[in-house]
Amino acid sequence: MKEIAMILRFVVIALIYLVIFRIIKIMYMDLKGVRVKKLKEFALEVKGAPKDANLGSLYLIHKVMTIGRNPDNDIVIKDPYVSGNHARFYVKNDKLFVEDLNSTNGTFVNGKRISKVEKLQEGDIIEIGRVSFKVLE
Amino acid sequence: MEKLEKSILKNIYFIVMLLFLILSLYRGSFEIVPFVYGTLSVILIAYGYFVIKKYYPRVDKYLYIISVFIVEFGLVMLYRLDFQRALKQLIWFAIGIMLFIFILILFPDIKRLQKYSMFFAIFNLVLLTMPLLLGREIKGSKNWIQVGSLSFQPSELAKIFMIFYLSDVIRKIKDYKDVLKYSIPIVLSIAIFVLEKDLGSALMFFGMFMAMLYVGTSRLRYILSGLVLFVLGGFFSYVVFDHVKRRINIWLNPWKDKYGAGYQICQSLIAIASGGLFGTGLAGGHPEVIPEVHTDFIFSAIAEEFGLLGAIALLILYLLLIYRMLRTALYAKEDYSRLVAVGIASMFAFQVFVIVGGVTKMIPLTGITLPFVSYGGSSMIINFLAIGILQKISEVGNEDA
Amino acid sequence: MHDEKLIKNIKALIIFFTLIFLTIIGYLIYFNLYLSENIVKDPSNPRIRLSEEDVIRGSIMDRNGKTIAFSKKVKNNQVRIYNDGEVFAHVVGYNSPVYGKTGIELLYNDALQGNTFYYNILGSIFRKFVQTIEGEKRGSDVILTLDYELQKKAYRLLKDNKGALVVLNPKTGEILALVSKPSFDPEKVDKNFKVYKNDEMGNPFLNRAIQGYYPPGSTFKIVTLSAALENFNGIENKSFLCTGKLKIGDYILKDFNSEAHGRINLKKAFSKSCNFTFGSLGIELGYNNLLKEAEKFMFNKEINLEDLKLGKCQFNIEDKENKALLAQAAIGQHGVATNPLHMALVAATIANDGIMMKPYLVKEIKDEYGVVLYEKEPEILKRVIDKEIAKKVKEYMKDVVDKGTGVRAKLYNVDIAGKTGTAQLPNTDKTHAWFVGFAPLKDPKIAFAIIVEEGGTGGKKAAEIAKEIVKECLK
Repeated sequence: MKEIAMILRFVVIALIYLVIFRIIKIMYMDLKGVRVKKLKEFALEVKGAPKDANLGSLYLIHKVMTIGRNPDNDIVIKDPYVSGNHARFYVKNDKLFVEDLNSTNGTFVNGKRISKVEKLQEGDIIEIGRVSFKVLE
Repeated sequence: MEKLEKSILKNIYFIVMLLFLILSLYRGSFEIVPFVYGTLSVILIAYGYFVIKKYYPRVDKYLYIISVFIVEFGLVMLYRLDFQRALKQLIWFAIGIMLFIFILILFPDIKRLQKYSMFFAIFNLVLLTMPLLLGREIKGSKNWIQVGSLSFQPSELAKIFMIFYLSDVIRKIKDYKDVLKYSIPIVLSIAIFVLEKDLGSALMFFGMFMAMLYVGTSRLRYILSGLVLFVLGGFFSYVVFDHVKRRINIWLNPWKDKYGAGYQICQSLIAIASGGLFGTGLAGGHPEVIPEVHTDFIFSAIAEEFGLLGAIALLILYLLLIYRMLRTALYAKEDYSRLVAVGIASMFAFQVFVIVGGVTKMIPLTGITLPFVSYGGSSMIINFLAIGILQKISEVGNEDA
Repeated sequence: MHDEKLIKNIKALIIFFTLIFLTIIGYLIYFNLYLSENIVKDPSNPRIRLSEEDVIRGSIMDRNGKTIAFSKKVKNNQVRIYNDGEVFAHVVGYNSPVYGKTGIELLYNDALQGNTFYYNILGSIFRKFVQTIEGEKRGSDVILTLDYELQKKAYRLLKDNKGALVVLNPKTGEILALVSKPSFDPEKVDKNFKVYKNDEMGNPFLNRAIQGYYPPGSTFKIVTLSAALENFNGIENKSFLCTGKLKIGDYILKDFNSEAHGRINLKKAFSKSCNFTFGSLGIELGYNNLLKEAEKFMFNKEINLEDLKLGKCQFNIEDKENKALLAQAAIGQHGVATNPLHMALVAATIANDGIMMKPYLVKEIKDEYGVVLYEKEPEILKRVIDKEIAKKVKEYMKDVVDKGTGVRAKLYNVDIAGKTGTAQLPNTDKTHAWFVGFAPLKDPKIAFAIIVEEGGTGGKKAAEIAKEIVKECLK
């Protein structure tokens, strides 16, 4: 038994160096700028709109995306049911959230009006005014 | 990426189980207790990893992975040296991981601490003077306070406070006058350490201060003046304080009094020398003959049983950890967090340098813990607190990456 | 703004810390390569003892297999037991956890601990294998050249005198007995170390037989005689007129009790140990010739032995031109000093027809299974003088015991050759008694040297001890 333990010490040292080597390799890749870590991306697909113009078009969400009637929003919807600054989509820790910015007519997720912030999942339907979106990953 | 992390973690689990298997076998028959202990420590690591991954998939997980790997070195060594202490250390490890998770989830953005810098400076000094008034001398250093059966080293917590304080004020430094004004708390701290005979902490604080001062101001002049003052101060202490003189003399020739004052360092050197390249193998050597082997001299024990290669591996792991901490500083969002990260990284770097240099007689020996490895609750908890803060910085830094 | 600088500084800090860590690693490598070897050997290393505890230490035995020292387990500890400890103390040494090791215990520690030092590779693998199965390790046994009974007898013969005695086989160099008095008990070293170390006890730790430093007195005349025989043809037929007092300038070299030997030839002068004759021979030979002869007999030379650490022996006169000093050197008084083992070697060289054999103590090493791991072959240390000269010196030395100063050593059934010596001590009238010689004359089996400190003249106590030794050896 003692002899086995004595042989194992070489194995242990070799393994420790293996781990160190692997960690260094990853850090080296990181240093080289190889961005293996890709940000998870979400998109909104327009499912229904009053004037069928934008039907089917995709909006990619980078970090934050605002939606509203005012022209300084990322997505501008010229619809009277939509408030000036209506809602905000954002990604945090690989999850998509939607936040209602105290709109008059509210933001609906799968038919339910949300109070403030709601986490979204793929396939959720969001209704803002008369426009509806589907969440895609 | 995540797959790689998991695979590395699995390697680490395997190594840990292998090490505890050796401890199970070395007495000639299979013992279950080391195996259970090893399994528990692995479960703790896995749990911590699980929580980070769940709540913060984007933070730098290598800070955690390398830290716990280093902790395992300590756990294995302590188990082999003293079962009772190993048990306590496992509990401290668990508390450390809980604290780490707690900080990650509940702690506010580090930036918000910036406005409390004066509070940190004052509390730091209060903490440090406490042992002078209430404390008692343990192992020749008066830097402990005891509450009931728990003894606690305030200097461990003080160093974090000092980092928070310095991170704020260093950015305000414009000229020498500012340096003098803002360095009052740290100079006082170092003076208190010398009085408490805790020279290791004094050295570490000084190194940390210099590193932060340089990063924050980019002025080499400040560093050079600092070094000159340090040499003068060192010389003054050598003349005035007997304990400083004694340490230097032991360092110059420990073998002269190898059964007396030089006993610790000589035994440490003998242990390191006994290890050779591959070490005696876990439980194959006699590190238990070194005094204070579970705290200050645990590196010597590792060098004896894991050999030169094992000792170098541990040092590389520390270096990687420090690199990872400074990388966090690079990616941090604003300067305050950046400097906090630099401070914590420097603290680790100097702490490792002071104690490893000390036990190998590269520099005079000053008692200080080897972060994550030495036995001790205050040290373990504060180190995880530090890692937690860095993790927090890395999380915020990553948000808009 | 500031940010760029900060980032740059942090990168500089990364490089700085990397350098610091590389320095530590570099220092560790340096430490392991150059410093560690000596540090591990330091006696304050507790590992040496701890690792020895695992192995039952081998025994030390005499040439006939009689045990001198052995180890056994008492509860979980090993105890070293010495038979007749005081008799063998200086050869065997001690093995103390506190004070370290000496003697054979030190020099053959590797063998006694069973380290596979003397093995071939296959042998050591096999041995490791067997030990793993048996679960108990035992060291190897060291077999000495000593003769247990002779050693004991020699120890007893020296009685309570301070002194030393060496007996060796002139043909092989095997040391048959080596005694130094006063002695110590190796089992009680831990308890009595301070007492033994004390000078007032006569310094029992000092091995007088090899570390003593005595003027050889008249025993050195063997060297002067062979120098004279080598350098002066027909000197044997020359006669000298001894007046008992040799005047050299202001100095007078006296014979014992200022006795005048009258007209004598060389043989008689040697036999009577005539200082007058040998003093004047020394002057006649001159410093260089005498020095050359002494160095042939290994004076001023270092004798490196595996089993013993020999003290220095010297022949050195500060003023080479001073005839008074030269005359004193020729009779072994001034500037000449040596140890008993070396004087036994001088006698053995004569006995072995001028060839000096290398003395040794360890005959062989056997492992626990009785396999011989190491066996010593006799080695020639030096060819000192011609056989013819040696033969003549032999005859002269026989005469010393037959009718000269060594007559007290005479035995009726054995021819003994010898030379007495009475070494004067500076500033006292006390003298050390020497007797060196060999026996039997025709086919020498033993050569010996005996010194009794403050033992009067060599012809008395020392010669009597020599007689008993020869009796014991050749019975």
